[in-house]
Amino acid sequence: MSIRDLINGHLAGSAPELYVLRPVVPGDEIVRTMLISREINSLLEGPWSDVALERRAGRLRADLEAFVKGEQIGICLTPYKARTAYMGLLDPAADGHFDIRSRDPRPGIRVFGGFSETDTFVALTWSFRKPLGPRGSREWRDEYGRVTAEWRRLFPVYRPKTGAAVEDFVSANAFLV
Amino acid sequence: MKTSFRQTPFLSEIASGEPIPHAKLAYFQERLRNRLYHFVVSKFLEEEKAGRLTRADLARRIHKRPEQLTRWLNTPGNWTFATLSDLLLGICGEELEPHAKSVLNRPQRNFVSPTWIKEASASDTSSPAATSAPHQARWDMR
Repeated sequence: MSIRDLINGHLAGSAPELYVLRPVVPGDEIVRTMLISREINSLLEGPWSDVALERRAGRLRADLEAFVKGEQIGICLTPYKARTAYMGLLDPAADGHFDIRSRDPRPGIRVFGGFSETDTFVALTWSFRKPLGPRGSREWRDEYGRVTAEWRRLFPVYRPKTGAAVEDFVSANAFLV
Repeated sequence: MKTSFRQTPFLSEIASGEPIPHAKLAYFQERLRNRLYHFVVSKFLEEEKAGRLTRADLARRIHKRPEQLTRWLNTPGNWTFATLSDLLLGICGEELEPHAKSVLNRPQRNFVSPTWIKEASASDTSSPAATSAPHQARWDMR
């Protein structure tokens, strides 16, 4: 069974594990694929506990859709150096997990996942940036453990795609940060 | 390409004149910022690829430190109208022409996901979580 078969299995049924993120405005171009977990879908769809979170979720959706629409994104392939990049490879790099960094407005949000293939990102978990503390903290390790566990649960025999160049992950409109 | 015109529930408050939910206002704010970023950065990368401009050249042209320019080109996070103007002028000697079009009644594109995705219609991002909670806004897409 290929990873595509597994993804299709997770998309199916009345309580799917994964959802296809599509732009909400009709007519927007769809260039790349993003699959999001139930956890991220819940954040995007609401209900939200307050207006601040509602607004933040709206911003996050637009940031995630930028990936789907094939907009320019900066990708960092060196862990701990992502700074202002749209997405960055996490440590250990050999595992192939990335975070998408929705930095503005504060509080920033990090969405964690990996590429199942070029131009297809599977987003599995999310966290506000602040509670994670500095890189290497226990909270970061816990969050990293959460995304790796989710990946293993959904794709037991497949690891996220790895590579040495931006083009290994995104075929166009992406640059190395 | 075949297209169809459909009014989406996502845009229902915009169409009806009702108060627009906060999430949707925020979505369009960020969407605009991302689109402007894509537009400007694409211009820069085009010039850079053609060998007509480097980051250092651009920084010099608009009197910014290279590290400031790098931040601007990596993320639109702290862009202002002034940033946008400086970058466009410095990159290609252009300015934005104001133009807006309705978000309503746009044709739906036929391509919604790669052909290998089989169950997309059953689990696109609009499917769950429809409740009447005060901060819930359903994001139906079609």
